[in-house]
Amino acid sequence: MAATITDAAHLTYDRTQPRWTGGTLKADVDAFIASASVIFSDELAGDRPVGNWIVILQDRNSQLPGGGAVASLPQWDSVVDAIYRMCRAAVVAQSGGGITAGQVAALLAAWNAEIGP
Amino acid sequence: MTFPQPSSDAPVLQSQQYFRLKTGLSSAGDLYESKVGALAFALGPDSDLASVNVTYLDVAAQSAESFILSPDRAFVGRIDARNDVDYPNTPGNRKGRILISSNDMFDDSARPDGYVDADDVIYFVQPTLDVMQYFVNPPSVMPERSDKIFRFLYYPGAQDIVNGVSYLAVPGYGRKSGHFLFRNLNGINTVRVKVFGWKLSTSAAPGTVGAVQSQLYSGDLLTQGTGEYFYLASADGMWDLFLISLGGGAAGFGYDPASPMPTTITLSDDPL
Repeated sequence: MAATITDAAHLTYDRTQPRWTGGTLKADVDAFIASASVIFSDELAGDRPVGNWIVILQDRNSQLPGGGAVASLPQWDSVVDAIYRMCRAAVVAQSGGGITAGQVAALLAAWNAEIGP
Repeated sequence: MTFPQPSSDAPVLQSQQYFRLKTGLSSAGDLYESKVGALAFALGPDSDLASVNVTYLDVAAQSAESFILSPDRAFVGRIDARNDVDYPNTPGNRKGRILISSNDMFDDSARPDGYVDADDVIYFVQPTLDVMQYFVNPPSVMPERSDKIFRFLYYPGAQDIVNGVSYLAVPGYGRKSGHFLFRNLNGINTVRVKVFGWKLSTSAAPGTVGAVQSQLYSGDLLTQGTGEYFYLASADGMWDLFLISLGGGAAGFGYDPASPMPTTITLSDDPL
């Protein structure tokens, strides 16, 4: 579990390692995407610097094999990279007034539920 | 990341030939969008970043697609911003805008090896993101990155001037050569100066620390003395940031922030 969204960003690689070796990475990230997507609206300009990362994360995650197969190292890295950057974007977006503390907390909750354990 | 975000709409409405997205990078997650298509993309001359990701909607393939801009490689070809359709298979009905983000790593919460919170201080020079978006056929000669020159006279003082270290991190993404010149104008103290190459990582405390730091230069500058370091990527590697440290080591080699330490750093894409 991560205490802050910054911690979540830094812990993403560690927390996804067992999911990568266990072949559940794609499914778990899909669940994270589903949870995160409802937090950031495409209609709101302030939400999009964070919400747009869902586009990139979804694209990268769609490249991973499903059905319990283990993704390649570059595929794993690409997904971690996108989650990390999305979390970092949330920190900056909140400090800039684009999103609320509640949205950051909701993103952290989604990460803790799908990536963190 | 800038709020509100820079927009390419106005340059198009004003019949300009290009839009220049030039802004400071706050984090590795900074992401900008364009609702306007382009005939070419290139890194701008003032970019500190050497790797910029551009994502767009490939309608024919019915998927998101991306490419990387670098100092050696622009992208020439028509890219449409599809504000009328959604990125497929992506929740949240996200329109097909063009997305621009850093592919380089930057994290101002990273700390050097051996950093002591109570004694040391670190200052990050904010990297510049500079991307050219052309609305007309691009010039035959695409812009290259300019040499970057940093000039400093003083550094932030460590919290413990005697035992602490003052760190300064400057962007060095993709640079292939450089020159670091220091002069100690302290009338009494010798100052220990070091230059490190620093590769950042997505992983940092409290997780597994994945950053790599390598000492490239070390010198004890006598009062009124100078020190210099010539950087060649072919010999010393390529780094995200160059980390300059003043002080540390034996007592008496610390940096007094009241004393000037003239520093000139020149970084180039020329491999020499």
